[in-house]
Amino acid sequence: MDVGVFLSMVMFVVFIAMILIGYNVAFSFAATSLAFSFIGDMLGVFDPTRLSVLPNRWFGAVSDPNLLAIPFFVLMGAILERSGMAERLLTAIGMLMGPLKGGVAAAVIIVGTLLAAATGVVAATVIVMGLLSLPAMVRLGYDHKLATGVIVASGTLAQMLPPSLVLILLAQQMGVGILGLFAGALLPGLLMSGLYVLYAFGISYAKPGTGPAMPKSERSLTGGILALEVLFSVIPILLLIVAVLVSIFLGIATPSESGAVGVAGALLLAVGAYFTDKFLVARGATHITPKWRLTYKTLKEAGRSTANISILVMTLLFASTFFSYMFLILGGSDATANWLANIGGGKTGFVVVSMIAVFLLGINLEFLEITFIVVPIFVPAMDLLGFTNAEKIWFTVLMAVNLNMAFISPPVGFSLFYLQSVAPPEVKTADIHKGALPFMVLQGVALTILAFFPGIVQASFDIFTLAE
Amino acid sequence: MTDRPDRDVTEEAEEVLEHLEVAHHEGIDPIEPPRGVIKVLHAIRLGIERVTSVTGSLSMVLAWVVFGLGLFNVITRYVARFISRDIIVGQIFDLQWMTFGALFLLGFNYGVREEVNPRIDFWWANFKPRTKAWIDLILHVTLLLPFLWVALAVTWNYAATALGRTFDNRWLTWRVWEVWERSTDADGLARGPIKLLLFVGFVLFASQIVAQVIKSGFVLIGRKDLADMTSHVAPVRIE
Repeated sequence: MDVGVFLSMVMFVVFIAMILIGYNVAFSFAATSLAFSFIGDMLGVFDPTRLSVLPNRWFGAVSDPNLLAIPFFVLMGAILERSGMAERLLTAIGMLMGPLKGGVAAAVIIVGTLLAAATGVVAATVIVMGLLSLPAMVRLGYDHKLATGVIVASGTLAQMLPPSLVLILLAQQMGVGILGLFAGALLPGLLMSGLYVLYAFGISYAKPGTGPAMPKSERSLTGGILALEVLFSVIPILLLIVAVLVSIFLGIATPSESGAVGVAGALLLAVGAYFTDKFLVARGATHITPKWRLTYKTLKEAGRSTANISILVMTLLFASTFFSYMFLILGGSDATANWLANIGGGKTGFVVVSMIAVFLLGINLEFLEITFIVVPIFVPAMDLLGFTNAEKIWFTVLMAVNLNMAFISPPVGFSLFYLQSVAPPEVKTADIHKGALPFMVLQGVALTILAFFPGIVQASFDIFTLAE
Repeated sequence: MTDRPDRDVTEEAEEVLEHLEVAHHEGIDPIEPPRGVIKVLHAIRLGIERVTSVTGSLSMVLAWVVFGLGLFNVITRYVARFISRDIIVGQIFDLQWMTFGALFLLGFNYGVREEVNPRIDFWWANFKPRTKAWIDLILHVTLLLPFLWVALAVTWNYAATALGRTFDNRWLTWRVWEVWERSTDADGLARGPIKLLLFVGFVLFASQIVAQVIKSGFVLIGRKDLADMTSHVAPVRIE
């Protein structure tokens, strides 16, 4: 084997070892790359003057218009999560669907889907639903596994439906347009949401006692007030979703500009919630107290999360840029691309192997690490196999579904962790872990459907890329 | 379907999130005053982190500035279409990504101090504080600081060229704004300052790593009270 290729493989192993002992992931990227540029120089396979191209690559990340979308969508989500919207939606739709068996679970999924399309914030969605719906479902006598499962699964949809950080970063690393990926991921995301609803109703009707209907005494909202509450909670968020997505899909605005529209919309929505609450209270509603949400603290916290996440992502990106550059120069990229391309079965073989790899990594790693570690390895192989742009989008959507599983896979999935932090004491951690499993199976089903019928992603892409 | 109709779940959720997100700083009040070399190192560490706090707050403000610029851009574009006149301001678009650049470049040090970057805490969570300090200290000193040194060298070279240094390493004038790199677009902003900021970002990054090394050292010599190490209750949320 070529010395450079051998070195690049060792570099990869050293990197994995370094992150496993708990050294910061971004630092591990930078540290191993530096060590191996030095070793490579000593063995005569790396010319250190090549390091002078790094600033150019970093500057490319600074001036990348796609990455500019990150602060906008994070800010939008941070404002919405503090606007009280999730609460209103859950109350309204929960009361509306409660009388059906499994209705509250289905309501949670529908609310999760709406929030997902508006915010892309997993943690807040899971926590609010955990605080509000989990105790309610427990009291109604829902099976704890079903109750926790719907919350983590639908909260995690935020990562699948546009606009989401996962999709933005995947698009950037894969080299496909954000617009195309957003369009391609929309139907698959809705497909997953639909599967969840079917499952929630199915199991509630098939196995009595898993998802009982809400008794009459529980329905505190009825008639006109309920109708108004549903209108006031659903209409603004639908408008916001439509405004953001349509302005992206119509090509009126760049993704970052749509994000700016979204932030402005979120601010308006937070203000509007105060007035609609007042209106409802004047009509005799007792379930709410109007509250002014846009406090200085809210704005400050929103700015803080935006800065934190931007810093986090960009530090990782800078460090992994160095790593993938070293991997390329030492010849590791070509070697793995060749290996992946010749794995047998052409494109199909590659897709199967890469999906299994992502799934296995997902058990222990989170989406950011996976994206930055494996995508730079996949891309050259995909180019070698002759993936078209449409096929790349299809593959990226498959990856997004797969990463969705990483979020709820026990024992380290982020969503599970957030739910644990707010679950009432009678809900055991083991229930939360077991509850996630059927939904992982459903995600697996969605992944298989999308893999066998690439037409779904293509159709989604064709429908929603309205620009052409 | 709420438990208590009067409770404010959004606020409650916010508190939970805050509790999960906030980095806990341990050992802020020193048990005994530091002396000698320790005193000097402690002072250096505090000095570095004062800068970190300032640039960290700045990046928070810049998040809102980026939004303001973005919104301005959208509005001018719509107005331009409406009155069918070309008033699109190219500079604002450039300013927007440059501000985003400043947001995270000036925030590198803050990110390091608050540990916003993820660790795989598979084994890490069960390590003793001393083991953690050894891992960080050794890897910071042997690999990360050398990397930052290289990064500083190459980004300085890059920034200097953008600021008008000639290829034979001469500075033609100290008034760099007369000679720095302009935009390739007619109405774009000059590229010199943002390229200099790339270098500044790495200076801040490296300075905070020096502070981290000092803090790890304090843990190892048994002065955890001076170390002010950051730890998280939860993995920092990344979506």
